[in-house]
Amino acid sequence: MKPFSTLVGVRKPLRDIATAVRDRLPEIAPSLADVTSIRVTDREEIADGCLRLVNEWRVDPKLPSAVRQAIPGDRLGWNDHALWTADLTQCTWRIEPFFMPGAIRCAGTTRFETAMGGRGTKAVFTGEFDVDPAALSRIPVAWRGAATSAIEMIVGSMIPRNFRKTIEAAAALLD
Amino acid sequence: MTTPPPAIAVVTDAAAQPAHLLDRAAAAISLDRLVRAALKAKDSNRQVVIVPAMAGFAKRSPAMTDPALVEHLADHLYALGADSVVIGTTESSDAMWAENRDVFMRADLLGYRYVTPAGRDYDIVDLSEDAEESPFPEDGVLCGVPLSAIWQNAAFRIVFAANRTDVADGFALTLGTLLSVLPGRDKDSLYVRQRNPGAVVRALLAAAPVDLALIDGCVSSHGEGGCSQPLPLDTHTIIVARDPYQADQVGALKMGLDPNVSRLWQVPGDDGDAMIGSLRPYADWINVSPRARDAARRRQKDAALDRSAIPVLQAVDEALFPFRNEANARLNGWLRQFLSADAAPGRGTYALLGLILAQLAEARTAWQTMFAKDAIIRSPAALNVRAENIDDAEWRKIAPAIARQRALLRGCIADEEGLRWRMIDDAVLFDCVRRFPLPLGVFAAAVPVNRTIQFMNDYIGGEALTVARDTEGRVTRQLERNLYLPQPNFTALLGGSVIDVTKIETIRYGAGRQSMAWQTLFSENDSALADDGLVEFAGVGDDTVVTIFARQHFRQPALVEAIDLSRFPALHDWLVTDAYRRFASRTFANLEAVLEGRDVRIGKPAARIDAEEPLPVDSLAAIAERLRDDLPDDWIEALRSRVDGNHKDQPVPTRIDADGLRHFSGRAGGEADVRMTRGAVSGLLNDMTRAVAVDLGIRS
Repeated sequence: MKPFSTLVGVRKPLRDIATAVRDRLPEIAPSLADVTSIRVTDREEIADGCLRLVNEWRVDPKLPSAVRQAIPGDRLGWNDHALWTADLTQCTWRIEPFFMPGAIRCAGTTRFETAMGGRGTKAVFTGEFDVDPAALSRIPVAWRGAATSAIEMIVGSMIPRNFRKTIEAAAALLD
Repeated sequence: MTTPPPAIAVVTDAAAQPAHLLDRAAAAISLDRLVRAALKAKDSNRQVVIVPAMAGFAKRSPAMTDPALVEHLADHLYALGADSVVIGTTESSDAMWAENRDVFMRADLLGYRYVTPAGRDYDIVDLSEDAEESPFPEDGVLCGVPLSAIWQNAAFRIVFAANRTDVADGFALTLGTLLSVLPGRDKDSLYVRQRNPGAVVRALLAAAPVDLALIDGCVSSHGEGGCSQPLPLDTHTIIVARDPYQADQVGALKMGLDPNVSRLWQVPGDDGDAMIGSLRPYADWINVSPRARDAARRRQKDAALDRSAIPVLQAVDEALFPFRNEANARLNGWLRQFLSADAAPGRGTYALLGLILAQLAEARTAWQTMFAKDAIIRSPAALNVRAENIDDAEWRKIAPAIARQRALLRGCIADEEGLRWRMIDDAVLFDCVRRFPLPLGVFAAAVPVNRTIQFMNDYIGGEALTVARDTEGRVTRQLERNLYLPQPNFTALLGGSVIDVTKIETIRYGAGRQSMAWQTLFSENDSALADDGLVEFAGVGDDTVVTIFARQHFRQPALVEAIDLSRFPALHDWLVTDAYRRFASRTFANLEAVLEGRDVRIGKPAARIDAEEPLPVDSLAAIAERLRDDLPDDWIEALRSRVDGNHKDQPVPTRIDADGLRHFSGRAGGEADVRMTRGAVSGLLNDMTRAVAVDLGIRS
C-alpha cells in the first residue's frame, strides 16, 4: 500500500469549513482544475448523527494521448464514498474509480482540527493507495516500472494537491 | 546618584530554564522600567509588537525563536501594563515554494498557541495586511514601500531573533529578523538582491526604531548550512540590547565572528554603552566558512540560479510544509540523502554544493559576458558616497590631475584607428579620437557630456548624483558609480569580476569645447585601482571631435596576474591594443547610436523593483503546461505525417549511381524560375536606388 498525506490550514472556523466540504462540493467543482462536475448521488443520515454520502466526480485531466485512448471518457472519474461524523471532525472515505474499478484501492481519512487559537482549521488528509498487480500484468513488462512510478506520482502528489485545492476553494466560498 | 542600567546583557546559565534566562536578561537591562515608560508615553495605544524569527521548517527548529519564550515574554509585557501584545511577521520568499507558509498557518505549525502560559490571549498579525502608508524618504532605499501601521504605531517594538548562522552573511540575528516587518513576499529578491540590505535595515530603523533586541541563544543553529540546514547546539544564552546593532555585534562576537561579515551590519553600534555578561565564544560552535559565505554571495548574484537552489537546499519537514512544485520535492529529497549523511557538520556536502552552485552562477555570467550580453541583467547599484563628505579642494584638483596624467602620453604615436596607449606602473594610459560630422551644439544636445560614461562600452549599471550646476542649469559637478563587465571580457572566464568604480567628476562648458574629467574615489568590490579620465567634445568647423582619455588599472584574476603577461611583450601588446581598439570603436559606435536616438544599453533591466517574479521552476512548469496544451492529441501521428509530408515534397531521383549519388532531372518550368529571379533582382536594385536617393536628400 502506498501511503499519502497532506495538511492544509485555512483561516475559517472548523464548523464552517467542514460543512462546506461536506455539503457544497458541487459548488466547489468549477474552481478545481480538471474537474468537470461533482454530483451527490446518495445521502443518508445514519446512527448518532453521522452522514453517509456518495459523490460522483467527473474529471477531464490532460493526459498523454496514449493513456487517453486507453481510457474512455465516461470512465474518467470516481465515486467517493464518505462517512462523516456528527461533529464534523472526521470523514472516512473510499474512492472507487470508474476505470479498472476492482484493481485500484484508495481509502483514507480526513480530520478537521481547530487551529490558530480557534481562528482557523487544520485539515489533515491521510490515505493509502494500492494497485492490484494482476491489473498491471496486462501492461508490457518493459513499461510496468514506468506505469507504477506514474501511478505513485499521481497518488503521492496529485491527490494531496487536489485535496488542498478543495479545502482552499471551500474557504473561498465562505468569503 | 544611581548608575544607569547596562544597555546590553548576555546571560548564560546551563542550569537555568530558558524562561528563567529571559527573566534574568530582562532584569539586567531594567526592561520593566523601559516598557512602563514607553507605555506611559503612548497611553492611547498601549500595544506591544514582538517580531520573532519564524523561519523554521520544522517544529522546535533551532533556526527560529522558541515560541514558548515569545509567549513567556508576552506574559511579562501584559504584567507590565500592555493592553495588547501581538506577534507580528509577514510571508517570506519561502511562501512561493512551500505550502502552509502563510503567517497564520506557519505560526500554528511552529507552535504558537495564541494564548500565553498565564492564559492571556495574544494575536498573530500579518504585518503586510495593514501596510499602507510609506514612511520612507523619497530619496531613500525604501522609497514608496509601505510599512505596517501596527508596527509604526506600537508603543514598544521588540525584535526577538533566533541565534543562527547564515550562509551569505555569517549570522542572521536581530537585523535579519527585522526584515520580516517589510511587506513584500519575495524578500530575498526585494530587500537583499535588488537593494542594499544594510541600507534597508537602516531605513527601517530610522522609520520605526526597535526598542528592544533579543536573541534566543538557548538552543542555537550553527554550522555551514546556516538556516538552510540548521544544526542545533545548546548554548544556554539570552542576549538583550536596546539597540539591534549592538545585539548583533555581541551575537556575532559570541559566535567568534567579526560583525562586519554581515551586509546588514553596516553601522557600528555605540560600544561606549555599558554591558554585562561574557563575550567568550560558544563552545563547539561552527561558523559558515569565509569560502562558503563568498560562494553564497556569488550564487546570489545569479537570481535565477539562487532562487532555484534555495528550495532544493532547505531542510524541510514536508509533512508540515510540502513543496508546491513536485520538481523541488524530488530534487530536495534526492539531495537529502547526501546532506543528512553529513556526519561531520562542517565543511561537508552543503559547503561543496555551495561552491558548485557559485561556480555554475559564474560560468553562466561568464558565458553571457562573452557571448550573450543581451541576456545579462543590468545591475542596480546605488551611489555609495555622500557629497557632503567631499570638500571643495577635492573637486578642484581633478582636472589638473587628469591633465598631468594625459601629458604622459606625449610622444606616443596613434595607430591607424587613432588609438595611443602606454603602460605606466601597471596602469594603461590611452586616448582615442573620433570626428563626428555634426556641429558641437547639435552633438552635445544629443549626447550630454556629463552622461558620456554611461554610453561607454560594456556599461551595465550605476547611478549619478548631481552635486552642482552652473547658472544655465548644466551639471558641473557630479558623483557617479559605474558598473562595467569584466575587462577584458575574456577574464570573466577566469573569475574576473564586474568593474565597480565610484567616481568624482567635474564638467566644464567653454566656447567650442565641453569636457568632463573624473577620478576614482574607490572601488567597492576592489576591482579597480584606478579608472580616471577625461572626455572632451571640441567643435572643429561643422564637426565635433570627441577625445576620450583614461588611465585604467583594473585588478585581474589571480591566474592572469600569476601568468604576468608583461613577460610576453608581443602577446601583451596585442591583447591591450585589441582590448582598447574594441573599447574605442564600440564606444564611438554607441555615441553614434545615441545621436540617432537608439538605446545603447546592454543587457536586460532587472525585474521592476517591488515586482514579484515567478520562481524559475514555476515558469518552467507553465511552459511545460503550454507545450502540453499545444500538442495535438495524437502528436505522434502528427509528427509522423509531418515527416512523411516532408518526404513528399522531395523530388524523386531518376537514378542512383554506384557511389550512392542520387541524380535528378532539371525542374520543369525553368523559364518561370528565371523570371522570378529577374523580378527579385530588379526589386533589390529599385530598393537600393531608393535608399541612395534618401541618403542624398533627393527624396524622403
